This record gives sequence, C-alpha cells and structure tokens, in this order.
Amino acid sequence: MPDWTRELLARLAELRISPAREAEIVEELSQHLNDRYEELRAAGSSDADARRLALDELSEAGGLARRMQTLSQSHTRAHVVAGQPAAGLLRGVWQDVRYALRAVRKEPGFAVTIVLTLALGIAVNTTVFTIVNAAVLRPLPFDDAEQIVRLGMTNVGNAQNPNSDLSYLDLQDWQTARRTFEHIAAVAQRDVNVSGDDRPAARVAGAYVSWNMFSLLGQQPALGRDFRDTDDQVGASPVVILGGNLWRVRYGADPTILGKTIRVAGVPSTVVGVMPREFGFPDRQELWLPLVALPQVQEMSRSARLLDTLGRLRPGATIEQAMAELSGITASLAERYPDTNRNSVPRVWSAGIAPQFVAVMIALLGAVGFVLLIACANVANLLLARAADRARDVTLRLALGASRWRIVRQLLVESLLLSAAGGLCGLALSYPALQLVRNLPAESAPPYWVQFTMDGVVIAYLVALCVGSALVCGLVPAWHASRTNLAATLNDAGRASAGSRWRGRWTGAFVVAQVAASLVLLTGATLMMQNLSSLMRVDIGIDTSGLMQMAFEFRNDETPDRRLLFLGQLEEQLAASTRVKAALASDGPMGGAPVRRLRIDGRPASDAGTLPLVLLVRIGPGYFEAVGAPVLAGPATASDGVRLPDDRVMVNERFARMHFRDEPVIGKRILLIDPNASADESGAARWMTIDGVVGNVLQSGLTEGEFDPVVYGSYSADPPRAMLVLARSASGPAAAAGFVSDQMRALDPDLPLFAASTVDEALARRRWPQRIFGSMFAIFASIALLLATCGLYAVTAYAVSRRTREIGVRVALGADARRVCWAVMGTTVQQLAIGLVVGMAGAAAVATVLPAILVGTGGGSPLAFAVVAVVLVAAGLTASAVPARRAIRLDPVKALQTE
Amino acid sequence: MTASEDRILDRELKKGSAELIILSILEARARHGYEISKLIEARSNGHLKFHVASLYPLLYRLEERGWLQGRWVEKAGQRRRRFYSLTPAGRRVLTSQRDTWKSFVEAIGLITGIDRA
Repeated sequence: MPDWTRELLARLAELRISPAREAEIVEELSQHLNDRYEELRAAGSSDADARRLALDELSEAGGLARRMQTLSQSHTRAHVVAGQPAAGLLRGVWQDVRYALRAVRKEPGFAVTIVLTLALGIAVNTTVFTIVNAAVLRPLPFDDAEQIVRLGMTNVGNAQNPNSDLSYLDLQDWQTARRTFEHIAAVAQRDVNVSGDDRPAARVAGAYVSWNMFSLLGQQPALGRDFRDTDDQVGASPVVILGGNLWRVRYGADPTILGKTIRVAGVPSTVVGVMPREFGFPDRQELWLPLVALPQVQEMSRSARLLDTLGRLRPGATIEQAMAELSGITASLAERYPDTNRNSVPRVWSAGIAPQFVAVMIALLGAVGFVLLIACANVANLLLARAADRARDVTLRLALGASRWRIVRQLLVESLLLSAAGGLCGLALSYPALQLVRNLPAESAPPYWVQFTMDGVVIAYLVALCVGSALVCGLVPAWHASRTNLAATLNDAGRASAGSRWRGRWTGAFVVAQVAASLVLLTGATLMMQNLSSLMRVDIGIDTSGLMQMAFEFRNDETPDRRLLFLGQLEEQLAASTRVKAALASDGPMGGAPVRRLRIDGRPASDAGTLPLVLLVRIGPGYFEAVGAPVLAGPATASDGVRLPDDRVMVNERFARMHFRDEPVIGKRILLIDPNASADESGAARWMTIDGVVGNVLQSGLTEGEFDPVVYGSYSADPPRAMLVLARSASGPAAAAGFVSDQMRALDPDLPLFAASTVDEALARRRWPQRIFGSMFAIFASIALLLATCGLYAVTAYAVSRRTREIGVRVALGADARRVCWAVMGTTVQQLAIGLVVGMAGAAAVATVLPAILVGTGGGSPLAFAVVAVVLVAAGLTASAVPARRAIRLDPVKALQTE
Repeated sequence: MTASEDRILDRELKKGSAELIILSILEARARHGYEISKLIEARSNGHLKFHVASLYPLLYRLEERGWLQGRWVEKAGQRRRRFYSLTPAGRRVLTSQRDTWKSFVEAIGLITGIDRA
C-alpha cells in the first residue's frame, strides 16, 4: 500500500493544525486514499495510475488546504512540544517552566535532594548577610547620616598610644569650628542610679551628652523638649531626658512625668523630655543628662581625653575641609597649652562600625560562600549524572528540530526553578537562625540601631544567590546535555562515547572543587575553634570556681572621706562572717585595670611617653585571700586582714620578672604616673615601696591571654567611685552574693549592687564574640563537611555504578576482581589527590591570612589539616569501594545486563 | 451529459445541498468517510461525487458546528476508522433543511413545470 503521509502533510503544511489533530487527519485520509487505491486497482488500474488518480482527487476543487482554511482547527495555538521553536520568548519560557515542573514531578526524590542541598547553602548565606547588612551595610538611622563624623585626636609624638578622644576643655574649643560643622557634640556613657521616685533604686544605662547632641543626630524627643544650651552650663538646674522604654516600664508611660523631679546619680533632676521608644543612642541608653553634669567634668584637665565626640558636617562640606578647619584650632591650642596639646592633630572619620568587626564579617561571608559553593558543586554533579539519563529525551528533541540553545535554556530554567525552591526553603531556615542572633544577652547585644531584619537588600542578595546558584549548578550540565551525540545516543551505544568522557571530566572537576573547598573551609573553622578553645582554657592564675563579683558606685556628691568611711564599715560587716571570704577592689580578675607609667627609683629617667606600662589595682584587706592568689614573697600583710599602708604596694610575679629579673624586689621604690594626668598632677604622684610579690592573676588590661605586670595598692589613698566586692563562700556563689547584698542594704539601701556574676560568667561574656563566631564557623564547617561527604559519596558511587557493566565484562573475561576494583577506584583516588593538593594550598593561604585579620587566631596546626584530609579521603574511598565491590560480586550476567 | 457539464452540476448543486446530503446519508447509522462518499455516488446514480478534498473538509465543518460527531472505532483485526454520526442538533437541522429543500423544489417545479413533465 502506498504511503500517503508525505503528500498529506505537504498539503496540510500551510495550515496551523495542532500536531495531534494533524496526525488524525493524516490517518483518516490515508485510509480513504487506501480504499480508493484498492478500488482503482480492482477496477484494473496499474499501481502508478491508481496512485495518480487517488492523488488527483486530493488536489481537486482547489485543494485540501483551501477548503480547510475556514475551519477553526486550522488555526489552533502551537501545541507544547519541548524543543520546537515557539512563537515569542515569553511563551517559550513558560513552556520551559511547565516542562520543568513535569520533570520534577517525575523524579520528586531527586528534586527534593537538590532543593534541600541548595536550601542549606542559601540559608547560611542569607543569615550571615542579614547580620552583615544590619551591622555594616545599613546606614546609621539618622537624617543624612553620611554627614555625621567622629572626631578624635592623634598625638604624633606618642608612638605607643597615639589616638585618643577629646577632653572637655578641648571640646569647647573645637565647638568654635562653625565653618564646616553644623554641630559638634560629645557623649560619655555612664551607668547611673535612679531613685527618689517612690520606686526601688535601679541601675540604668545612661549618657551625658552635649546639649545639641540630639539636634546633631536629627532626633527629637517624642514628649517634652530637647536640651537647651542653658541646660548645659555651669550652675544650670539639673535636667534629665528619659528613654521611651524606661518611661513605659518604670513610670507606666505617665505623661505627667514631665516636670517631676527624680534622683539621677544622686542628683535631683527635672524630667524635661522623653525620647522615642526605639532610640538608645549611643548603645542601649535609657536616659540622658547634660554633659555639664558629668561628675568632675569641670575639674578634668585638658589631658583627660575621655569624651566620645561626633560632628555633623554642613551640607557640601567635606572631611578634608573639616580637618583643615580643626587643624587650625589644634595648632593654636598647641601653642597656648604646650603641656597637654603639643603634637596633637585632629582626626576626622566617618561614623560607623569598627574595622575589626568588619573583618570578622567578611571572613564569615567568605566561609558561608564556600559552603554554598560546595552545595552547588554537589547539585551540579547530580544534574550532570541525570543529564546522562536524559540523553535520549534530549536527543529526540534535537531530532525534532530544537536548537541547542533551546535545550540549554530549558535545562537552565529547570535549574532556576530548583534553586528558587531552594531559596525559599533557605529563607525559611534562616528565620530561626536569626531569632537566635536576635536573642543575644544584653551585654553582647549590638547598639540599638542594629536590627537583624531582612530588608530589600537581603532579598535582592537572596535572589542573586538563587540565580547564581542556578547558573553555577546548571550551566555545565545543560551545555553538556545539549552536546549529546544524536546517532550514538539513539543507537544506545553511548556508554563509552566522547560525551560521557566529557561528563566524567566535569564530574571530576566538581569533585576536586568540593574536596578543595571543604578543606579550606574546615581549616578556617579548625583555626577558629583552636583559638577559641585556647582562649577558654586561658590560665587565670587562680581557682575561679564560685568566686562572685558585684559592683557598686558611689553617688557623685560623696566625698572621698565619706567613701572611706562607708568602705571601712562595709569591710567590717563583711569580715563578720566566717563562711564568706570577701574583699573590696577597684577591679577584679579579668576585668582590666587603669594603666600607669612606671618609673623605678635608681633607674635612668626617661621621657614619660616611653616609660613602660603597668596595671594598677586598688585593693582592700583580704583581697589575695578572697581571690586565692598566693603571696610568694614578703610579709603577708594584705592577706591577713590588715590594710596595706598608702605608700606600700604588692606586685605580681610578672612584674617582678619583667622589671627586676634576678634582683630582690622587696624594698624597691616605684612611681606610678597617670598617662592622662597633666604635668601638675603627675608631679603630685608619690613614691611607693614594694612590700611583697603575689602569684599572677590574669588582669587582661594590656595583652590578651598573657599575664600583665600588676601593682596592687591600697584604695585608701584615693578611694575610687566604683568598687567591686569579691566574695567566695563554701556554700556556693549564691550564698556569697546574698550575704554581701544583705550587708550593703543594711548600710545603705539606696546604693544598689549591680553586675553580680561569677568571674567565670563574666569571662564567658567577654569572650562572646569568639564564642559566637567560633560556633558559627564550626557549624558552617560541619554543614560543609556533611555536604561535601554526601556529595562525594553520591557522585563517586554513581560514577562507579555506571561502570558496573564494564566491571562485569572484565570479570567475566577473567580479569582479577581485585585488580579491576582498584582500577575503578583509581579515578576517585586521582580526584581526591588533586582536590587535596588544591585544598592544601588554599588552606595554607587561609592559615596565613586569617590570623592577620582576626586578632587572636593562632597559626594552623598540621594536625587540623591532617584530620580534615583524612575525613574527606575516607569518604571518597568508601564511596568508590562499596559500589565497586558490589559490582565485582555481582553475577557477570546480571552485570552485563545492567543498563 | 458531458464530463464538464457533470462537473458544473456537481459544483453548483453541491454548493447548496452538500450539508443536507451528508446529514441524510448519516441519518440511518454512523458511517466512515469512504463509505459516505461511495453511498453518495451510488444513491445519486453516479451524478454526485464527493472526493477526498471536498468531503472531509465538509465533515470537519459539520463536526465543528456540532451537527456531527466523529469517533474512532476499532474493530477486531482491523485498523481503527473514524465513524461519523448525527447529533441531536444535527437531526433537527436535517429535518429543517429537508422541509426547506422540499418547499424550494416545489416552488421550482411550479415555476419551471418540472413536475408537470
């Protein structure tokens, strides 16, 4: 029977009939023509004649197409056939989406694996970027924040400690710089006591600010009024502005608070305003006082440079112009006050986040970037593997007329869909992670204006991640798939074809990339963890278990004599208990201490700026016993409850070793000079005699993790405003704390104890950045290792199982099974080796760079590299060994039948 | 009649009556396309011939209008064929067109005296 299909298709070609309908018409008309042909043949026509006649009837009456023109089935939309040229890009992409969804539905497990893998990588990236965005990228929440700058001084003559803030007197001179500055204002953060309002006394984070600080920030009180310049002058009535949160919590949002008087730091102050709730400048402050009210600010010398200063540039003014104007002022000050202002030049820089914090953020971003890279390599390998399975499908579409670009586009759309799904899951995963970050304890929390929220920038980053992942994962597999050899694939002979070799190379490349990236990431994490654990293991020098510390602060108006009286009474009360050992000190272990320049009697005098630095801790009787520091030499005066005389000091072992080596220490005289003091004040310092040596207790003032030279003197010569009570009880820290607060309350109920915690807890809180970042790195590294191991395993197992047939053939032909096994695993070993080499190079780079940007991270230990490398190699070898051995044990016939 | 006269008659008459013819053929039972064309030729004593190019477009048009329904039918040992049958709408149209045609023919007869001959 003749085949009428070509003839019929040719006549129908000009119509836009859907392919399915067209096929039906062709079938139907073919049958009719067959019947007609048979009829003609039966009537005696030859084959050729019968054909011709039948075809003539097909062309009658103007032709089939012309008669079908008016039918609606001749004008249907193009049917979806993936790979066929579509009318319009948008329609084509929509086809691709539908096709991709179909493919996903067919292999849901595969899709879920990809989505989860990407979700993990995207989740960590989104979380970290949200943090970075909130802390580093977002501008300060003030009007025209880029006009706000920070101001400071640099002493070019002081090599060790050149940078400082401003002093009160310098500030007033700098505030005359009106040409380039709209405002200059300073802030000093202080925790203050609030009382005198019929509520229990409380300790509140406050700040003393110049009267124009809020104008500088562009923030006005929500209730009442801002400070005026008259509030910030000597003799002005004390005023206070409350924070919105404090107003709600303590005063029940009572609007009549305005005009009422409360005691702040012991001073009756009138409430004149309430700031908006979310405002807490500069950190998490809850009330503000005029700068003039800062205790002893009027007596501070020009060299007491303790004020954090900000400036708002005029519109159009640049930092350089500001520097120039301030330089003129500092030059004139240097002339007028050579003692304190010689060699001082201004510093002006943009207000923002601290540089070392930025470095850590960048390191974190790098780490999570690697995690995502590993995830993408995993996914790319999975897609490559699947490309092999879909070769037939792709080939058919190519045969039906699809262009390679069309195939690539469709596969990319599929990748994009999967990565979009991964992005959504990642977004969902990052919410609980951010919640953890938001719930940091108060001391570790960032300033009030850092809100870890996902804004448009974060979403845009997420979208970029998804698109980037799709491209990274999908481009190579898509391109590979489109390069399928038509004939070979359709003939099913493609197993060892060039295409699969090409695919094998790319798979190998991805494996190498995974191994290398994992190695780098894990090395970074190990370094951070090593550093962290070494910090946590730091030797404090004493047994800190159960050691409580509590602080209190005298009111501004307490004279030194009144303070001494109180302290003496407190010590008496504390000594009354036999179960609790307590003592007073200006600073506790790990709490830092004021710095002093050291001059030793009998040594050549040198310029004050080059004298060595020591720490000064002022203590009361029984301090060494309370903290458990052993007295190594000299009379145990301070340890048996007797006060050190004012002109006697104890020093620690480090001090003795640093400055006296093998000389006897006791009896030597030293002079301690306050580097912030003026020449007159320095001149009033007294020589003191060293009475004894105590064991090292880590003070952490100058160097991290090492014992500093510390001098212990009696506080009675100059009782500080803020004091610590250190106490230890056999019944535990709670008992110690309870005992101490009972004694305090008995002496002065208006004086609250605050910051009560064990020394260990305080240490942990100080270490929170390392803890948080170390933990984050560890988590990322674990995720990376998991991804890399699973990916390595999956890809290797798949590659080897593809060679099952080959293995079966070899074994059937008599090859030694073990030899074959090794030959197959050889590829894996090769890839692992290359990956390790590349990874080692990267890891070595990280080990060099990381300590430079992250203060405190140590060098890499070879052990870390080795452990990581071993884990990865083990994963890879297992991945190739298991399927290889299985293939060998398989019945050769079955192996040969394996597709 | 000559061949060309045949063709002219075919064309002109078909134009006006083609639908009625198809609907009538299918009144009794469902038939496939080849059967329909053979039946038309037979019942018209060879005067009317519907070949492939004219029959099927007509069938498809009637199908699109909803007067016919086409269905693939598979019989044992045979390839499937597409059978057409009248729908209820098609039957109504057939009745109406018959009446119209009857009136038309009577009118022509009255004018031209065909009946009287």
